[in-house]
Amino acid sequence: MATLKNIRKRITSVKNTQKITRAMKMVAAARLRRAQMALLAARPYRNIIEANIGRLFSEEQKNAHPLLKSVEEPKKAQFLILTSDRGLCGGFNGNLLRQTEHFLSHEAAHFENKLAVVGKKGRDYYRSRKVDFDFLPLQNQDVFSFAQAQQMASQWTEKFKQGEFDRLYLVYNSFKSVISQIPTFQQIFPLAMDLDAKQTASDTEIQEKVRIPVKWEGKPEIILDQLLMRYVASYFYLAVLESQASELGARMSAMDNATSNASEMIGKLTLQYNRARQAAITTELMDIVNGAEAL
Amino acid sequence: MKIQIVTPEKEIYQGEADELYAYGPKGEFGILPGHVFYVSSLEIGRLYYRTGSEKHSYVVEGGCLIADQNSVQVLADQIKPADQFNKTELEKRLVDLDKRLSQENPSPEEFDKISQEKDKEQARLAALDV
Repeated sequence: MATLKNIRKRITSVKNTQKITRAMKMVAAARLRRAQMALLAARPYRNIIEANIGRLFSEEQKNAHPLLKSVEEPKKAQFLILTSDRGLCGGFNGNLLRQTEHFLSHEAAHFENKLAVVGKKGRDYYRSRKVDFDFLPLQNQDVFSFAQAQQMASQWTEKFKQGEFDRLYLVYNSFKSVISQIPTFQQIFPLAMDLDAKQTASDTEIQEKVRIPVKWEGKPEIILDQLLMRYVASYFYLAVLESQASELGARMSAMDNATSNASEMIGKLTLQYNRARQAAITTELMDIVNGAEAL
Repeated sequence: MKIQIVTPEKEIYQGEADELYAYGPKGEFGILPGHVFYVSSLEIGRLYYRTGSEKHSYVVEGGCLIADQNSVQVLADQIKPADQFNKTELEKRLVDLDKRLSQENPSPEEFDKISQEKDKEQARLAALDV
């Protein structure tokens, strides 16, 4: 049986761990609020482009634009996987990477797949599995700006135009709520025009809108190109923000669990400690009584 | 009409307005309710909208505007409210830039940079004038 001193030591150490997990939870909660605000603030921009871009492009433009048209037989798929740099965030990375494995071996099994990874956790995962991949660290992640997203977007767009891959998927955890992060596979290239999908939703309304000719100020091709580039960049931007908010949410709930587990453990250990202490007192008393009787 | 002004990073305004003015490649233009389906790129320039007798003025640095029968959506690359600028400061900086253009004999790239800077200052001044 553990001695009193040992139990006391363990209690102190669990208490210290609890302090750390509690602090981490608080930090994650504070940063989560910021990340969530940034995410919510950034969504309208993409929604507006998304709602309009389908009706701004004519059929011919859609079929001809290099970012929109799909090759006859897509062969090469590129995946950009957003993981975190730090751990202690529950199933955040594990879940995403496991789902990715599944996606690669099922939905994307007929492609020749290439991986690019953001975040040290993803890097470590693929390195230990001896899988070929590119590691793309993200500079000053905490204040990820749209300009950075634009840079990322233009790099990948260049690669797509040069035919390095026929499909680009962005893989990240999208933020549903603090306790729920959903691994998402977002196809970026070729860009899907959601017009058809929306037509089923409100068929007549969209049809009417489509028929209205657009009056352009400036060259339509240039405006559309700029709009498309911003559209792509906003996908990258939002993906990073979603991933960050998810990471913080996951960390917060993981640390919350850890804190309450520690409380439980402290309770158990304290009980054990008190029992052991009582046992020691009883033994001592018996000794004294026996000694007194012997006299 | 409904207007919505957003940047990639945040939403600036969403709500009703009676009219909206922005600065396109051919200069300033206004949009009233019932406009044709219209798309314009935005240059560096002022943007303002009026709701009742209230006017709200901004400086936009590039972007795109999509107008429709009863809605206007502004996708600005960067936007700043006009009330954070100070008129005398702007005028002083404008004079400085003019001086640099005329006296320092700048290289073509520098010239472009300075004139862009000048455009911004002028747009800010104009935005204050709404």
